Amino acid sequence: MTCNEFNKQLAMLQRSGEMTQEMQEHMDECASCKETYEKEQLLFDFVEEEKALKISPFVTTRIMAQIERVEKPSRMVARPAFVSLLSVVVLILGFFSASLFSGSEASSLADSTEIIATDYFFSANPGSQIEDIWLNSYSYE
Amino acid sequence: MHTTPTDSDLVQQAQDGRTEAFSVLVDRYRQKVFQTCMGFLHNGDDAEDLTQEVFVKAWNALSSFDGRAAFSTWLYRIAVNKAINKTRKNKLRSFTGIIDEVTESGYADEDAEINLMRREQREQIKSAVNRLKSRQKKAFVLFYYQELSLAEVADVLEMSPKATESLIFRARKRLQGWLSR
Repeated sequence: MTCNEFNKQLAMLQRSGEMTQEMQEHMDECASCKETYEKEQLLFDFVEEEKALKISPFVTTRIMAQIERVEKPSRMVARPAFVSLLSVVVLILGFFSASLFSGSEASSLADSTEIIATDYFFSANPGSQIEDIWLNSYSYE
Repeated sequence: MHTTPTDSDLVQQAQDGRTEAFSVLVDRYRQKVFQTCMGFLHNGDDAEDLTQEVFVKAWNALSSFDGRAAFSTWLYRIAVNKAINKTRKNKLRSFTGIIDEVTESGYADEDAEINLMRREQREQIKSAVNRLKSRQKKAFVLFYYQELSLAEVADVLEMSPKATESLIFRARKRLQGWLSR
């Protein structure tokens, strides 16, 4: 077995410690390949050491607290948004409903304006009745 | 008779907004996700923080989980992608000098010289693993840190088992080359 073959076979081993007899024999004779093998062992010892580390059991509580913290603000943001939207809707409705109620008065106002104009231009004595008409037309104010 | 709920039962309940079902999934997979994070970050505190981020991300994306893959496969996919992003950020931060790397020693009672040598070896291994290309690193970590089978790694990486096998082989060859220098 050559060193190249040894290295290739070493890299092909899926788990450490699965060496063949042939590889073992080559390693006994070749210091360089033995060193490569030992370095690989160090790598797998390192992996085992890191794998053995246990996560804190409190991490679940922390994760759930974070999830619930994220969930709650979304509801708290939604509520003021809903209130603002409702206020705007009420305001708009108020505006239009006011014009509904004042519809008759608006038409009487238009009539009175027409009377004023007619009186002003066609009357022999313009202005004499204007004050009376105004007083009558705008009495609701 | 009390039966243990399956992952898909718990996922369905969690998708309906039941946080307690998701909490069971967290308990079930936290150690595995943590091991994956360790494989990328090599620091317990950072790996724990990243584990937390992975589960929060999984919760937020749970509505997009359609059950085509196993929940664990989907979760590990999130974990490896988040870990890769984190290592990129860490690299950038260490490059700009924001991170001062503190190496913990687990051999405080032993001879200082041996301690130093072990620390150097660990640093050499860490930097060799970190030098792997991202797909090779993902495959290496899932296979050796999580001990997933080739088929499972292939599922997480969305590759064929044959391509995954060759990815792991190339990762091992590269590590072999870097470590024997």
